[in-house]
Amino acid sequence: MPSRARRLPVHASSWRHSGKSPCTRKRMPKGQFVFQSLEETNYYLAAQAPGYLDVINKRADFSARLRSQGADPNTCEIQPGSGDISKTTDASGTVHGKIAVALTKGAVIGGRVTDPDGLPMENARIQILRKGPVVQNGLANIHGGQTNDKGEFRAGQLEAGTYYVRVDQSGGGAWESSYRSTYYPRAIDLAGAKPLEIAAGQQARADIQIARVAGVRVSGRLIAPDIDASGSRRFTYASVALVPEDSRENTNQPFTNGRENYSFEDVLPGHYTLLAVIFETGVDPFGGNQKAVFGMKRSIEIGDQEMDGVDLTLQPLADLPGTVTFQEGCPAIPVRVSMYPRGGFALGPAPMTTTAPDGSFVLQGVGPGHRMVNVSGQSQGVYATSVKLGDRDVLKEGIDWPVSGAEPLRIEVGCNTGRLR
Amino acid sequence: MKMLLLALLFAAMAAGQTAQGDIVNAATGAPLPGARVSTNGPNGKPVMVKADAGGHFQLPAGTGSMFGLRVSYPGFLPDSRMVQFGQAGMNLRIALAPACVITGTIQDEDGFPVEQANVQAVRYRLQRGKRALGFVGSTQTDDLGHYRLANLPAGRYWVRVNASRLANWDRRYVAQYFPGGLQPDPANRIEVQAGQERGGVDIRMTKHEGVAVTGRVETPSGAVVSTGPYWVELQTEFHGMRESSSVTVSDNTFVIRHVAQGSYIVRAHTGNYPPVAGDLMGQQKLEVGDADEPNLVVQMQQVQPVDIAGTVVMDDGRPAPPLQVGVRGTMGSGVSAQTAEDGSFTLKGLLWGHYDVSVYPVRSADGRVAGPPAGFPRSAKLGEQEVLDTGFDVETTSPGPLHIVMSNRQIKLTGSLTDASGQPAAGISLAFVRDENWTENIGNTDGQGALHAAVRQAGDYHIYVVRNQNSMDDEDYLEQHANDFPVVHVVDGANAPLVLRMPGMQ
Repeated sequence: MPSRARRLPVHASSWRHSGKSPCTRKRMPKGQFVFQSLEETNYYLAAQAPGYLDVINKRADFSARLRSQGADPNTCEIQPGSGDISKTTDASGTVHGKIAVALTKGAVIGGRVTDPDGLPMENARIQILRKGPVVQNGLANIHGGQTNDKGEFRAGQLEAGTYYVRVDQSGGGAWESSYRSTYYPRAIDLAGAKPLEIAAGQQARADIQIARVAGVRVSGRLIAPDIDASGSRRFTYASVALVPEDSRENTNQPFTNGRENYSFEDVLPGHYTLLAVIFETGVDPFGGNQKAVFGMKRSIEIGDQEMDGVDLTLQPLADLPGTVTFQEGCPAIPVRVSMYPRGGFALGPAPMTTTAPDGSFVLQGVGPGHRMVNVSGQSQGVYATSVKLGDRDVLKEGIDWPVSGAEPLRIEVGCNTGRLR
Repeated sequence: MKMLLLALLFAAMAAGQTAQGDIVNAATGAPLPGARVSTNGPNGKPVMVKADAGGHFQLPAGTGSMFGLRVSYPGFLPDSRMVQFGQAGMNLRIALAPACVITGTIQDEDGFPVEQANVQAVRYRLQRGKRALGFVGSTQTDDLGHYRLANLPAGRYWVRVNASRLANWDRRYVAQYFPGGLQPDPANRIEVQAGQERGGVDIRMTKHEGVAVTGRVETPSGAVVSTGPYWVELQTEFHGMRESSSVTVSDNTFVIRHVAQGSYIVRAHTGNYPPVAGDLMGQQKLEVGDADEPNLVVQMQQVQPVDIAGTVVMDDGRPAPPLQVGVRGTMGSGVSAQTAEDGSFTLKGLLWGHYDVSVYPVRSADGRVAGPPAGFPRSAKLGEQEVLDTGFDVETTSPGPLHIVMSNRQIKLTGSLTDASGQPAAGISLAFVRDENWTENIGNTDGQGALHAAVRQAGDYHIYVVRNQNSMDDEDYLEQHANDFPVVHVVDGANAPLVLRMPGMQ
């Protein structure tokens, strides 16, 4: 239930809707705030208090619109938004607006993570997940954190709702290959996870013991043409990933020995995508210029037997050229074209380039995986209306790279974006 | 030191030998069952084993003849060390020191908890022989304002809080030290003993009004600002701990409020950071007292790429082999150049900023070093100024030719190390420190307590046991253990074997 924060210090801020930064900030120990000398424009409010959920301008149900008018900046007219607003006018004609912002107490999930032997697990990554619009395996990551030296964690500022808690190795803790990413209380997948339902202001405890499940080894050689034959001095190194179907996370940390061998330990049975890439960099120890030069991507079915000798033959990764054209009425300006991973897994950095004056571009060093094409420009409102690879429009579905015999990309750019208020 | 350990980690490997040992609590001698021991196995593949119920562990066969070991156990400081086999196998005894913890609560001036504040355990550290403040551990407060600084070595610390989320609402909440104040006070250090959890280190933050610095930026006549508004940043540094605040400037004037007394660098620049050629930048020193600074003028200059020519020579007169000379900027990426046959080089296109000097061997595509070893840089001078440790500044003109002297002189030391009872001390790292607190090198003992070390210069050396990764930059540790071993006088050429005995328990 929402509660009035009468005794709490409230940070309140008002934003000019067209401004980039708060024009006024207030912090009042008793919960009241006053903004004076407002300029004539529209505002949004934000409020923050210890133990309560932040109210920010994005939350339409708490936003309130104020409008000042006239030469006297102290004269304000309040136009009610969806907040609780009233207004009075004093004898001098000055309008005073009164806005009540109801803050909701935050909920808390805390707990302790132990390894399969019961020892505290330090530096494990904790994710507080909830069914939401930004999905990964159907869940949105609401809060991220790490366990402390006692394996403990505490996630505050949560809205009332139903949550799942997941722990994995990304925090850098000592993690054996047979340890699994584990959902509360000890499940290796969402089906076995126990949801936590918490109300506003409630605290829930979620102790998690990391599950240990042995799997099989998948290993082999990386086979690529001799790229040193050109005589240029280059460093190369390899990266390999084994990604479960419908996931965006590498399943196990692989071991790669230079660019010759790889192995994954304790892989569970299932359907996976195996990706490999060889990068080259200059000999300059200051690095940079990392470029994917060979790559491969294939499906693999893993059972309950060790799979040694899974050799991966990498092919040269061709550059991906293309052209940008503009819709009628849009100025032909240089735009930035990039390919970033989304909705899947991709190896290597997102390649990026800027179009030439004639609209042409070449994306180099595109690592294997699923990537989306993005266009951005210095002027606001530039966006891609279609991205065609051959006859196929890949704007929404993306590209599974590498594509053999890929034709140049044809990107059409529009410029008439609307604005959200 | 970490670079040295990493380099040794990938040293020569040999098959057929196994290492085993016991993990114990350094304070009580009790075994630590379940302690994690990790190393690199055959072909460099990571291996992790756990100590059994008696604290005993055994690494799989095929581990190298020299390898890195990392041992950890919850609540204890991890131990990272290089281990070298002797002629026979190896039985290690690794004692983990109980870690220390400092806990407390951060509140604002009204007594309400401060969430998401960054809390640090700060002390003076010795970096390249210089004393500077640095943090040993850091954490964030939770929604109740509680913090827990864990995994600290025993010692004395200041506790510092930087509450940027709170300061975003009220700029007067600047970074503060326990129990209050903007500077670390020697009387307010928190001392923690091994294994101690010290609670109640609470900080009630106060608002500091400070003074206002008002000024304007002046652009050179005819300069065209290519991008966006200016940023003006006020940066101060107290013994290596930096504080800064910045504002955006759209009409060439600026006001920075709530500035504490101290020495500052005022830096103004146009939109790009790090700057690009054509941007405008300006910086100047500013002493802030107890009154407002009403009229500061920062003269801007157009950022131009500059070149620095230089030479590399060996200290024994031989020509230097091919080398890669690089400078890395604190505000941007680095620039490097390969030396010509006569040792000359030119670093091209350095933009405004501070740069550190590095020298690397030139490697072929397979990673092998080309030419004979050149050793390490002993000196790097811009004119008469030594810049190897300090780095140098570049503004709009070349700061002058850079002369680098390389050396590969090393004085090898051998000997033996025993524990307090006279038994060989295996797998111990020793640091050799010259009088000016410069950690010269790390030596290691093998499975039979035989010592192998090398230093770069003749001189008098203090010897310390390297107990953890923080030992050698902790001035308290160096002071307490300065006399654990007699001072060793190292001469050029052959030195007599060292016979060393450790005081007390390892």
